[in-house]
Amino acid sequence: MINWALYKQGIKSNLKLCLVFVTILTLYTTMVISMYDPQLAKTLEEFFRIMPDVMSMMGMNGDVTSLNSFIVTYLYGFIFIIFPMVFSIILVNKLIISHIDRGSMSYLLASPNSRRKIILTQLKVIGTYIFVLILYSTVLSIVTCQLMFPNELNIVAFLILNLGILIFHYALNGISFLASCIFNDSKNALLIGIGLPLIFFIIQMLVNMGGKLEKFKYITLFTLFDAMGLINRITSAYYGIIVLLIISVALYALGIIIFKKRDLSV
Amino acid sequence: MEIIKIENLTKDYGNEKGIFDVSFTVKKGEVFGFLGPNGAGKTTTIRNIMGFIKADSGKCSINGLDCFNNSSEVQKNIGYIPGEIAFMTGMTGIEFIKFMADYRGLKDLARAYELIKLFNLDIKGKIKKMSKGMKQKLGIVVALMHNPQILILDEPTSGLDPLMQNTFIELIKEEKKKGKTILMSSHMFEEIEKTCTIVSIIKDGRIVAIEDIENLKKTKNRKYTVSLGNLKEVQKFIKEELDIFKVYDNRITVIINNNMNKFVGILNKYDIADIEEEHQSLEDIFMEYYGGEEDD
Repeated sequence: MINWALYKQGIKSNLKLCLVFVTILTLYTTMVISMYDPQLAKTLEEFFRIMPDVMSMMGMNGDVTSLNSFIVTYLYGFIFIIFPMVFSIILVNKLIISHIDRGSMSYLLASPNSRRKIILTQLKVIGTYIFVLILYSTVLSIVTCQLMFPNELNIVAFLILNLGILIFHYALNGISFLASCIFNDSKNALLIGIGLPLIFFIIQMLVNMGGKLEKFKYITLFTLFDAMGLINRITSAYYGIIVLLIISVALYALGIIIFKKRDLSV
Repeated sequence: MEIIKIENLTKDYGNEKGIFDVSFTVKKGEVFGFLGPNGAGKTTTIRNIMGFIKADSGKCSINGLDCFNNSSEVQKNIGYIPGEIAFMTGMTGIEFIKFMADYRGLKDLARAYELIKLFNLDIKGKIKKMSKGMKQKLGIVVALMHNPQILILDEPTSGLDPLMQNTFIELIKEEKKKGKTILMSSHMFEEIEKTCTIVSIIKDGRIVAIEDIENLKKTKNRKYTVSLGNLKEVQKFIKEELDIFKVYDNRITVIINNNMNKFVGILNKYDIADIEEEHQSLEDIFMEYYGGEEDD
């Protein structure tokens, strides 16, 4: 199914990048969790009462009195969305777009490995790294919570939440992946591959503010990822994740089919 | 036995760019020279052979297998040098060689080390910092290290110094002796002349000629430019029974067909400051070979 030499090379050449994101997430996660204080939570609620717009734009609305919902509000609204997203876009660029753009794809194609095998290998590298980053942040959050606030975190609910965000990131990554498989020009591939997830993110921020903009939520993938619903184990939130899973598989499959058939003028 | 077979291949990029109705075959053991100016369609044809792009119409096959649909099968027997070489980033020469061997499933690196030695390739340096010639050498090593039966070489000597160009030509001759089938593109006739058995000329995306190299060589004139010591001698020289092409100051260019001995005899009588062979451009050879036919 995949070429191990290429897989190893992909993993090796992106280790440093992964470490950068691991460092960023470590800093933010420990910082945010250490800020949790049931007393402070009340203060934040006060903030929310005074300036609801600003707080909800950042996705920081809702009940923050339990550690679970505190983490959802302050980590899963922004930090755990944007950093893995940027990381996966960089990976798509390095492992697919730049090979086509620079021409080194010719060395990958001029081999007994089929296009399917080549693109699946690159996808597996990307998938592995997204998984590693989410796994790391999950473990880090659990360990930090247990050290600072023993037994306050509902671990089962938290694990479900993280499975959800992992699938959500695969779906987002599916967009960038598909774009990289369609376009010849790296400019277009990047425009769509970065642009679309970013526009979704901005729309989400506006949707969070409520009002007239709320109807826009039907055009973004973010609506399907209901972090608060997941941690409170609401069935509709699970359905959202199943839909995201189907979307991600569909986007990846379509990308692979297109990559197999397209012209690669390298 | 036909190894590479191209039938009526067309890939139209618009604006008269692309290749149109290209057909040729390369038989086992042949060295096929693919000659044409830049932008004539050499690389587009080669990309079709490599299965990188799919033609609008026509067929392209190697050993009977379609180059696009069966590329992974076809590629087992191919060694390839891209026209514009781009390697993976962040590797040293030897890392890239080892990666490509691993990627291809090649275990034995003996041939790779032979080639490294032959081309005097510095394998320890980062590819990013290599000169154009050094990168080209690396490309040659990687293309030949798995001992492929078919070689597809897109301007293989570009960037090499004359010494290394000769080394490469010797290498191709050696591969030819081993019975390899070779397709090699170039915009320099000299390079093709020294190695190829058949030459195809492509212009504006269309094949304009496919000829045996011996036939082309016969019609190829040689031009020599003789620099004489003084102008008085020039006056005398132009009266000799030679085909004078042009005279400029003390420099006289003559065309020599089969009268080399006579030419040398005449030269002996003069005080020669310098003598050099004029390089003939592709167009010159082409024009000479086809003469007036082009106007039809």
